[in-house]
Amino acid sequence: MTDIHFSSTPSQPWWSQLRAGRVGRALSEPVTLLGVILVTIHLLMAIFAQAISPHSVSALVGTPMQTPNVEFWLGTDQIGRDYLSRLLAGGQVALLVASCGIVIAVAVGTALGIVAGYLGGHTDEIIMRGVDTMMSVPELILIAILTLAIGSDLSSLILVVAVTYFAGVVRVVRARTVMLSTQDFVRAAELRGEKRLAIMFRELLPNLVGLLGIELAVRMSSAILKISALSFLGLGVSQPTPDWGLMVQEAMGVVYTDPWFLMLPAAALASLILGINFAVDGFTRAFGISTSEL
Amino acid sequence: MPHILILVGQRIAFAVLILSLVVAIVYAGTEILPGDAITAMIPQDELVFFSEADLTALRAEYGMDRPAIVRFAEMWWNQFTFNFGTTLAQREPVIDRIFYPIRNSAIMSGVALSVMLILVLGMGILASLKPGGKLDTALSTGTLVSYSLPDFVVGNLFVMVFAVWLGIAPAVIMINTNADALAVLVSSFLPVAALCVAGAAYQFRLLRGGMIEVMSTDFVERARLAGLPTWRIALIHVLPAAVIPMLNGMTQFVAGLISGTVVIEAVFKFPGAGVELLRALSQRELPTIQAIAFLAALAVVAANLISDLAVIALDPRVRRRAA
Amino acid sequence: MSKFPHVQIEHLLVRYRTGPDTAHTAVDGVSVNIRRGETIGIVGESGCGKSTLARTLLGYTRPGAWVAGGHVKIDGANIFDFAPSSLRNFRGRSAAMVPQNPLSSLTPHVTLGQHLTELIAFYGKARGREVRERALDLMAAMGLPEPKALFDRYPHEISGGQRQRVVIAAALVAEPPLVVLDEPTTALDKTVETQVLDLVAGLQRQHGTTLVYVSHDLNVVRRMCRRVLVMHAGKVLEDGAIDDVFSSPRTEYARNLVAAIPRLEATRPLVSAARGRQPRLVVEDLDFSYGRKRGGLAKMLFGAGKRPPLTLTGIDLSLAPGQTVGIVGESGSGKSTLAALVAGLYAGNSGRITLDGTLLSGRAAGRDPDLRRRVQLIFQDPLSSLNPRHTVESLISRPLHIYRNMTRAQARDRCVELLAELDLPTDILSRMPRQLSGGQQQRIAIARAFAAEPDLVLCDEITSALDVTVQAQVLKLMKRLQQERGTSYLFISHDLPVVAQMSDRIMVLERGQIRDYATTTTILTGQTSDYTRRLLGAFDANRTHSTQRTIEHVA
Repeated sequence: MTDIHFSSTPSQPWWSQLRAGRVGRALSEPVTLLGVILVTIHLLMAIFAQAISPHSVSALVGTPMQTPNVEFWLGTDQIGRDYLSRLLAGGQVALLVASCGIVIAVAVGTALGIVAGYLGGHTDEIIMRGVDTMMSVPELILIAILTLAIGSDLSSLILVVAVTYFAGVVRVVRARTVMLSTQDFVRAAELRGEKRLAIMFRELLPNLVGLLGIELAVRMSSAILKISALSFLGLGVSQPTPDWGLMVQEAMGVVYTDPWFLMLPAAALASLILGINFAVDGFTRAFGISTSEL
Repeated sequence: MPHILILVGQRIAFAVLILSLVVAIVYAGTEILPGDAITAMIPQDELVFFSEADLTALRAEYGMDRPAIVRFAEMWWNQFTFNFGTTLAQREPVIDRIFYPIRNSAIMSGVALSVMLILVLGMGILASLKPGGKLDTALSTGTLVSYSLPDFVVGNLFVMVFAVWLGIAPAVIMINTNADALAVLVSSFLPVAALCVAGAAYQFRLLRGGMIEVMSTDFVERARLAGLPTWRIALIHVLPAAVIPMLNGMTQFVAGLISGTVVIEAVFKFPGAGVELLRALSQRELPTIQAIAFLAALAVVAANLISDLAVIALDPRVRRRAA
Repeated sequence: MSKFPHVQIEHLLVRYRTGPDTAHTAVDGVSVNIRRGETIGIVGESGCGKSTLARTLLGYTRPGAWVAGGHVKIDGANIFDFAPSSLRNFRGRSAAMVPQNPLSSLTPHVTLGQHLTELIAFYGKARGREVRERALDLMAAMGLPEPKALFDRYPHEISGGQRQRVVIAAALVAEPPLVVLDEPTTALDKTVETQVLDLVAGLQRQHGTTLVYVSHDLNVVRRMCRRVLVMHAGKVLEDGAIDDVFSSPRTEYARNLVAAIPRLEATRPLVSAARGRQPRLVVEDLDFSYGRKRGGLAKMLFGAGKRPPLTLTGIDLSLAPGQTVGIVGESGSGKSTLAALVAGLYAGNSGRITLDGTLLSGRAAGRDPDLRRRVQLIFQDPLSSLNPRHTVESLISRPLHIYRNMTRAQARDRCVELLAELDLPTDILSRMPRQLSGGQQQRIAIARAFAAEPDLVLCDEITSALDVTVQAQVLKLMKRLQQERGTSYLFISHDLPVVAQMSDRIMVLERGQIRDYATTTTILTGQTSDYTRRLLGAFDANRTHSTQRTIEHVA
């Protein structure tokens, strides 16, 4: 058999294994690499925004509506705040809320999904009816109602995101768990007399890791979009916090005269989402996860 | 076939159950969480002018002094009979207020749905004929990009291109809420296009994934080896099996479409239910919020019911399983 | 046209893309001529390139594969030069394929009748009303009962054997002069296989079709063909009259392959059965049915749950230490259910199952831990029974932790010992199952079972997913472990020769009932029920030495 291929044996250093492995294969595609780079830039920008921005994000530092100049590289906004500083920090809230909210949603969703999928029966029915219900209310309306009920400060928004998104995770995790549960390694564990909890977390959970990574990223990008949309609609992040959704909304009034005020935050938001989706798409294909499962 | 009737009855029973739970969620979100509906309804700065006695009187007037379970039962019954009550501020029937906005939104999202389905089926079939080919790569990358663009960004982009630069369309839609249906249809053009950019992209990716999965099955290989032409295989042997994952994702699709409609209406100032909902949210107009949330969920559940029935029609194995 | 052989394959090279810049050569410089009306078999183990070669006869390669050199000529014309339209005209009309898996080769949402009418109309064999008539005639010719009733049924509503008949009918619509069959009966029960093979052999004689038959099963090829190609690693190692290849293989590979075929004969000495020891496992008057999960309102709301009953009735069995009882039956006979009940995967049987006098009842989780240790089950497919996310070390040491309270270090040492005992390399402790070969995977599953030091091992089709040479090694290993440890085996398989080789006594099950339960020799000499004789016949017919005789015997 004349196989022409590289082989990776466990004795090689981890980085060369990585390069030959699925992660490496994914990164060798330019679109995936672009995605990873975009996400990295956005993360760094969100973490160090305050440190690198030339002015305060909320202080009135100059006269309103200046065109770009030496002091204000991108000019000032309608009430005289530095536009560049606000742009750099504009993703912070959405990223923070989305990551915290989605981590909670994935954790809760995974636990419920494994329980529903493995135990089956009435437990499954009850959990899945609840999930169907949550998914029947359009996300934005659900988020709006929840913010109405519990407010729109940071921790409330995180809770809102977690509540809105866990149902989708349950559905995906359950579907995969049902499939895994038909495998004989689960039967073997039952015959060894393993506890149900041990079967769920020792046998099933490790097989969900790839799927959960993808889930985390897919839901993140969706949640960032929804939070920005919420801010755009005036229901989420409120002044004076800098936020891209809010900035787009402010810019709509001056779209005829200063279209860049609208274009820049829109482009910043789009590039973050695009980065996540490019990366997810590449890794999904490299790990052979079908898109119909998501 | 009586077991098909049982299956359909079962699905309808589920739909009612799910709508009931939706009512419960909306109820929990709008009536019990912090304080009560009366204090939630009155703006914070005006609340100081109300004495405790005033509030008690108001509660009695709206029946909010009764036990939660009674109020829930009443709300459940009212929602299911489309009796949405009167608005808190103007005391006009909610149904009168939201009828035209709902109609307008229904026209817009109905058109968007039809356009998307045609686009998706066409693109999905074309892309899957040669997976990895030029057309497939272009469509896949293109939809990945368009699916990553936020609704409100796409909407504003359209406003900039068509209204600001080209000047061929108004930046905001200026029709009356109760305008003629045809006028609404005509003015839906830009919003529908904006909705399709993201909505169609996701569905396309689902269908393409399904098509390619089915294309690699044994039965498709058998059909190829029998010499059948590719288009025939795609339409008769692949498509019915491939649309099933898409139909199963119908709940999310319609829910997403409704979310998107709210945003797009806000961008174009389209006189629809989304704008009405935003107004109601800012005024804390609870009966209106409840009514719109209920009707939105009803639309999602109905779409899901229809897609379930379509799956039953397409897949004989599901019919069998019900027996 | 007759100046050319029907099929000429010359220096054919087919490659598969395996990565961005890696490829695998599946067919490596094969040259073969096939005469008109010849019956030729292609045999080899999985991955030898036999199916890839077969598909090139229809000018087809799977996505990702391409012809890197050489050509395939049919009636003198190179089919890889054909334009797409003439290739479509060629397929089905001049050459047809009966694919591997009848269960998945019919479109699930298309009725059986439509499968045929689509092709009849497309090939222009009939028009209008006649199309349906012709489809019904064809179904009748394939021996399908009540064609009119089957016409509107969907593929999942009929049995595997019937589905394969429909697939064959679809291939024969245009009466092609060349028919390629790719493992057409591998997914079928042995008695059904016999019927399908008879059908194909009859049709071949009737029409003088050129028949190319691909299979991993030498016995089946021997029955269908006069000439055979033995393939290994993309190359043809042997090409000759089938009886010559069987009796005097030229290459060592083919010699091993022929030697590995399980013979239908008893190999165990009868003495062990006569030893008057206390039985270890006793099953008395066992009845079992899968109960309906739900009824009434719950069923209406939530669906019917699990499938309706599949029963075992009146099973009696006794197994002494160090002995093997083989359980043979076709799909649906309840043979795996029996193992599952003894192991404790299901509960709710009536009758008694005892191990050295202790009652084995209920699910494993409710049994005494030591009882669980003493009964181990090995599954059919190691890819499914070994958690793909666990390392070899964690797989084997889990029972050591659970049953024998070993520390990590002790367990690790014991793992290494076990690997050595099972002829496995000891440096694979940190590997995952998917990084191992199929034979190694099944050995890991066996090591895991023996790590518990069991008294009884239940083997449920443990070699069915393996190639024949690997199967021979695993069977040898199992025999050695039994001799060394005196473990009792309940050996379950659909493959009578394999069971005969392993067992002291054999139980034949049909639809949950014992048809025969006797010593291996008694079963093999045919002093049995009709059913067992038929089953024996299905395997025995394969043993017949001359193709001619087989076909005459069938006719």
